[in-house]
Amino acid sequence: MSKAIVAMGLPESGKTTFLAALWHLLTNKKVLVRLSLVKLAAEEAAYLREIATRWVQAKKQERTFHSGNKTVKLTLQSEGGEVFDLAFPDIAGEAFSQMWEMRECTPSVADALRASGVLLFIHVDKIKPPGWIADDAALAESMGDGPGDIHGDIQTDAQAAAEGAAPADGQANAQGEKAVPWKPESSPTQVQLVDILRCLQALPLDVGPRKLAVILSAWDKVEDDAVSPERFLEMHLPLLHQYLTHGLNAGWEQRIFGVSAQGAEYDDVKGAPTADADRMRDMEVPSQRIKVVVGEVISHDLTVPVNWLLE
Amino acid sequence: MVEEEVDTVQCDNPDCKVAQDGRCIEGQDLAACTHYGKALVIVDRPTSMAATKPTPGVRLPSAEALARSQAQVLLRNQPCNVIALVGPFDSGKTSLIAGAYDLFQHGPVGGFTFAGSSTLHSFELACHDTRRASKRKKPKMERTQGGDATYFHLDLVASGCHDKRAALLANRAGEDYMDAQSDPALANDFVELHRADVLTVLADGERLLDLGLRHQVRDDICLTLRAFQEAGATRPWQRLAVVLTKLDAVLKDEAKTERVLQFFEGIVHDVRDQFSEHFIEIQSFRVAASPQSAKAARGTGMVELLHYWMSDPACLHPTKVPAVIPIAARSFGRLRPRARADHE
Repeated sequence: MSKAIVAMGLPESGKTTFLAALWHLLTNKKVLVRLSLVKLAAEEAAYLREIATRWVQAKKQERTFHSGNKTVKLTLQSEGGEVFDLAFPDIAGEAFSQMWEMRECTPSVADALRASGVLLFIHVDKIKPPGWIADDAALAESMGDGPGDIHGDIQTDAQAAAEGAAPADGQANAQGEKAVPWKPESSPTQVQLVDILRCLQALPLDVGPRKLAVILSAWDKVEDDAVSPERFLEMHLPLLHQYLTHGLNAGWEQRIFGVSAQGAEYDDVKGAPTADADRMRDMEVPSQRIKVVVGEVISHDLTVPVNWLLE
Repeated sequence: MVEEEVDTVQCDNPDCKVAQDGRCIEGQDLAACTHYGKALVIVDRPTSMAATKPTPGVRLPSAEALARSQAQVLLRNQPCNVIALVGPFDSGKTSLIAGAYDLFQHGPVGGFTFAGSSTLHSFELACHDTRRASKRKKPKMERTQGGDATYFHLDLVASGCHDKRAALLANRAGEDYMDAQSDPALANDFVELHRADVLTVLADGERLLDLGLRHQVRDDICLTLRAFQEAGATRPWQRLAVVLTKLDAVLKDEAKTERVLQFFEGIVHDVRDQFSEHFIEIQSFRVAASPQSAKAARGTGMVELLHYWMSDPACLHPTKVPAVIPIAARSFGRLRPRARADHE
C-alpha cells in the first residue's frame, strides 16, 4: 500500500529539518511515536542519514536548493498495524517561489504536488508582513517625529512627466535610495502561500479534496507568547487564516501544528555555535528536543501531523 | 623480426575516399592537397534544437487581472457582483481597488472574510508603491493602463453565510471614460458598465480643494453619467455610488474641509436630481482608501462601500409568477386524482 504526502513551503521554512528530525525519531526509538519504521532501507537513505547526522550534531541543515530535490520513501507502520510506503518529496523552497513568481513548476514537482496529504511549512521567524508607508508616517507623527503628512509630496507619473523629471521608478528618495519596482518575491508571505494553495485547487494540480497540515516551524521562538498555533496564525498571517477557514474547496480538511523540530537556534548571525546549540547537544535524548503543539497538547511526537494526514 | 612500416592513408575531408581508391576527391595532387595526411576528426553530431530544449514546465493558473473573456467565465461559474469604477485620471480608482484588497491583510473587514483571489499579482502590483517594500518615502499611485477594462477578483464570504460571492472590480483608464463626454457612443464599448451591479463614480477630494477645479469635478461626474445614460450603457436596476476619495487630504486642509464636504453633498444632490430615475439606488461615501497622512485611518469609509458593493444584485430579485392552471374543455380533463394520506 502506498500513500503520498508532499512537504511544501517557501525557502528556509523548515522542511529539511523536519525530515531530519523525523528520521532520527523513527530510527532512534527513544520516545513513543504513532508511526514506526518497518525497513531501514529507505529510498534516499544516504541523504536521510546525512541530514539526520547534522540534526543530531545540532548543526544547521544545508539548504535543499544546493543538494537538489529528493523524494524520500519510507516504509512505515501505523498504530493499527497497517504497513504502507510513504513518499515524502523534500522539494527546494525555490520551487514554490517559482510557482508564485513564474506561474510554473517542473513536471516532477507537479507530480509530487498531487499527493493527497499536504504539509505546508511556515517559519514563524521568517514571515514577511505587508507594511505601509502611510502607517510609518502616522507612527512617526504620533511619536512627534515630523509632521507625518506626506500627501502633498506625492508625485504621480503625470506630474513627473509634466515636470520633465525622471520616471518615478528611477527616483531616489530622501535617503538616496532608489525606489524598488514591484517583483513578485516582494509580496507578503501570506499572499504567496494563499496563491500556492489556490494552485493546488485548480488544474493542473487539482486532485479533489485533500488534507492540509499547516506546520508553524521554529515554534520554540514564539512559545513564550503563550498562544495556540491557530491563534498565532490568525494574528500574524490573517489573510492566510481567512483563506484556510473560508477559501478551501469543499472536502478539504486542515489542521494547524506548532513544531519545533530543531529545538533552538543553532548558530548566531556570524555562524558561530550558540549556547542554545550546546544545550541541545547536552541533552541525553536528542529526540526530546522536538516539540509538537496541537491546541493545548504538547508532545515530542513528530509523526503526529504525518499520521493525521494519513488517517 | 623486422616490422613492416605501413603508412596510413588518411584525409580530414570525410567525403574523400583516398584511402580506398588513392584519388583526391578534389582532383588535386596528393602532395598539394591541404586535407591529405590529416586525421579525420570525429565530433559528436550537434544535438537538435528539439533535444536541447529544456523540459517544458507545467503552467499554473495566472494571477494577473482578468480580461473580459476570463471575467465572463468567472461570472458563469459563481455568484458575482461586478463593480465598475469611473473617474478621471488620478481620481483614485486603483487606490480604491488596492485599498479594498489590502484591508483583508489585517483580517476580516466589516463582516466579510477573504476567501481567495485569482488576481493576486495585479493586486500586489497595485499595492506595491504604497508599501514599505517599494522603499519609497512617499506613496505613489500607479497609473491605469489604456485599453480594454481589466478585472480584479476577490472572493468574499459574508458573516453568517457559507458560500463565496465574488467581487469583480473593473478598472479602465480614466481618459477613456472622459472621452465619452464628447462622444457618448464610446460608452457602448464599455462592457463593464452594461453588466455592473454597482456603478461607482469618484470625486477627487484633492481637486475639490482647488476652487478652480472643483466645478470641473462636478461636471465630469454629471456629464459622464449623462453620456452613459444617452448611450444606453446603464441599467435601471443598477446601484450608483458617488464616492469622495482622498478624504484625508480634505480633512488635512481644515480651513476648507467643511466647504469641500458641502460641495460634495451638492454634487450628490445634483446626481440624485438628474439620475434618480435611471438607477435603483444612489448613495454617497467618503473614503480614505490609502491615506497619506494620519488625518484619516487607512480604509476609512471602505467598510460601508464594501457592503454597498456586495449588496444583493438588484437585477436578480426573484419575482413571484402566479401559477396558471389551464381549465380543460372536457369534464374528464377536469378530474383530479384524490390525494393520498401519505402524499398530502
